[in-house]
Amino acid sequence: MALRDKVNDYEQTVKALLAFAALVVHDGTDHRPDSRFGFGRRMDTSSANKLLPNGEVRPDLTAQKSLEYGVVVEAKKSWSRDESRWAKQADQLRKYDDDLTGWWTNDERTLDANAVLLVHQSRSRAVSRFVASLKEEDDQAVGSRSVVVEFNSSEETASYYFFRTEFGSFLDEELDATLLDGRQVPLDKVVSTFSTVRYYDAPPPIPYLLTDLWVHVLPSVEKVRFDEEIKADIITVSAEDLSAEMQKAYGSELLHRDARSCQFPKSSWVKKCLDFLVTKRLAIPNEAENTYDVIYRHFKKDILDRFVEMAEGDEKTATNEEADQTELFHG
Amino acid sequence: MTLRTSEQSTAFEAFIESVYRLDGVDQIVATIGTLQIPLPYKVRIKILFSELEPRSYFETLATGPSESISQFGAGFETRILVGRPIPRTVRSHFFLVRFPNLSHHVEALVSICTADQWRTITRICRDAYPKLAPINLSQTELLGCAKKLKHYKEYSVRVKAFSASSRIRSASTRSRKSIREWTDEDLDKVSKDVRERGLVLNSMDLEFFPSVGGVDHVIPRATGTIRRSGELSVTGSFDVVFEAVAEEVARIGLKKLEFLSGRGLRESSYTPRPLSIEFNSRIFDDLENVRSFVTAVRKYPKSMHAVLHGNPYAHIKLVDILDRSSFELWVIPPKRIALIPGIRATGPAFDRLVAYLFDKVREGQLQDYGVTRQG
Repeated sequence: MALRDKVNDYEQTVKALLAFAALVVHDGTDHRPDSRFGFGRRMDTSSANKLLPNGEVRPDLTAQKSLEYGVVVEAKKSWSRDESRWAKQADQLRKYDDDLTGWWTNDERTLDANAVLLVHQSRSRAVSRFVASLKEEDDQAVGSRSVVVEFNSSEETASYYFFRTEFGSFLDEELDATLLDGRQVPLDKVVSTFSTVRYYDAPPPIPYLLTDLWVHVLPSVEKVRFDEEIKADIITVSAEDLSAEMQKAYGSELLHRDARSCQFPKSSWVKKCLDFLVTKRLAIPNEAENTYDVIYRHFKKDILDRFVEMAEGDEKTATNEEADQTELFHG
Repeated sequence: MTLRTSEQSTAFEAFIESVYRLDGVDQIVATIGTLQIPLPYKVRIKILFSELEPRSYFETLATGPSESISQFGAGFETRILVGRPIPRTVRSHFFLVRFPNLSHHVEALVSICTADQWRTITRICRDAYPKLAPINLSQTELLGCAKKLKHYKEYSVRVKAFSASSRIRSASTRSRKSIREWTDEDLDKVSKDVRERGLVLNSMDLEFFPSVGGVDHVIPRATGTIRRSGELSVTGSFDVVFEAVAEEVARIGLKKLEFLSGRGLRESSYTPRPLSIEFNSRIFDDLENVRSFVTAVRKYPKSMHAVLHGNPYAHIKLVDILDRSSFELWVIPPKRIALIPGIRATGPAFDRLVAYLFDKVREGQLQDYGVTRQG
């Protein structure tokens, strides 16, 4: 998949998760009482879990509608054309279809819950057929509380996210009825309510994170000096400081936090971006101090396009090297 | 009266320099109020905003290494090289006036000068951004300012002329046609006319007629031109225009900057306080308008951008490289632009962006946007 598409997918996934969370925790007028949601929340599996007994899972989204009901969600916008690679997502769904511990209740349990696979419309039918066929072959392969929900953004005006059940049913009557025929969540509501949430608990493509660093984070750093020789600002940063700032501004700190919450964007993701800049001669590492001097250039071109070009250049080089290697062995 | 020879201009400038050497700004203002200023000279005013005080900024500049500005009496003198291939030095003078009823963050820069001299002064102000920020007036604010002055003390105020741009739309481009019209009409009629013709107002000339018992004099006491750039020029009584118009422009500008300030994520403890521009008509139902928006933002001066989506809705990241403020812009059909502040987003940077969007897209209503929640 082209890198630009991966960037687009990541952003769409974040917005889709927020829109789906809104469906669960909001009644159209107000936040439901005792409702909450989180990204990447640490949930404990039960001893009866088919694939991971007494283990830990971190669903993309955990959304509690009430003290009695919640959903855990795995989102995947793009699916490989090779269906043999879909088993991993099916396994994830199986792990989530369980009496999980970690809800926002007194005993951290809930009466009912569904495990949801959130799939883009372009693949939802195929995925639903895949899940249905798995269940036919082996009734235990797919849990009884598993649901496949399709999502897309409306093509007419692109100002809505649309969700509809494609496989299974929800234990919550209201949610089941809502998603049977499909429900639109206005983009406007998602943007206005969660205007700065940009990440979830999965690493984004490097250009996505780099663009936020270049546009929002690096310009806000105070420790800057102008280098007369190269005619650019030099901004001294560390991966830890940058990720801490991004968590506050665009990530995990914006959502409800407790002992089960995780932090994102992680400093390892940011470090990967800074190391990438080093390879592009846009940063110099100061290993002794564990910092980087970023050479902050003003791009005339679109910043995202620029970083995508740089990263795709690397991918092409890696592919060519692989091909050369193959030729070496088989030529 | 008009000065026609360089000797006359030199003599007049010597006189003006002696006014600037008077003991304090109050005396200078009082003296200017009594003077007749010959063309091509005018009293010109620019309303400026600074996080410190505009005066402090110029004092720092004047005592620094710059040779282009120095203190002169109660004000400042500038010497700027202009022209090619043989540059010449343009000397200008100005002083700063506070508004007694407003914060010291906003002051009026006043100069008695020609258009040439004024350009050198405004260049210094432009180069000082973001330490000094201009007050930008929207068309609504410009009209509102004029409406408020319909009757000022013992004067009747009428619109003498206005300049505006009209959008010319062809298959390949959208360009502007500038027009200047003289009118003796009531302000409400002018306002309606401008709206109906789809014009964008750039400046208005207001005449102040002494009025007694509801009967107006036939000769105005003063004419003030207000521009959307927050600049004014005065013919006739400086006092009348300064008191009536300059303070109103400063008040409008300060109120707007206060509304726009404090929204950067770091300043607001990471609780976003976004804004939106709302339009009366469903302009973004037409995808061409969404695409035009994206094109306009790509061309925003002194910035870098990243377009995540351009069609059918728009989502763009933007950084102001002068000020280091950043924003996310969303076009949400049918009739909204959402402006989400970045980690750093100053009031002047917001104002610069909004003024640009009002000019290049359309003027709308600026307001708070959305309710932010945690999970």
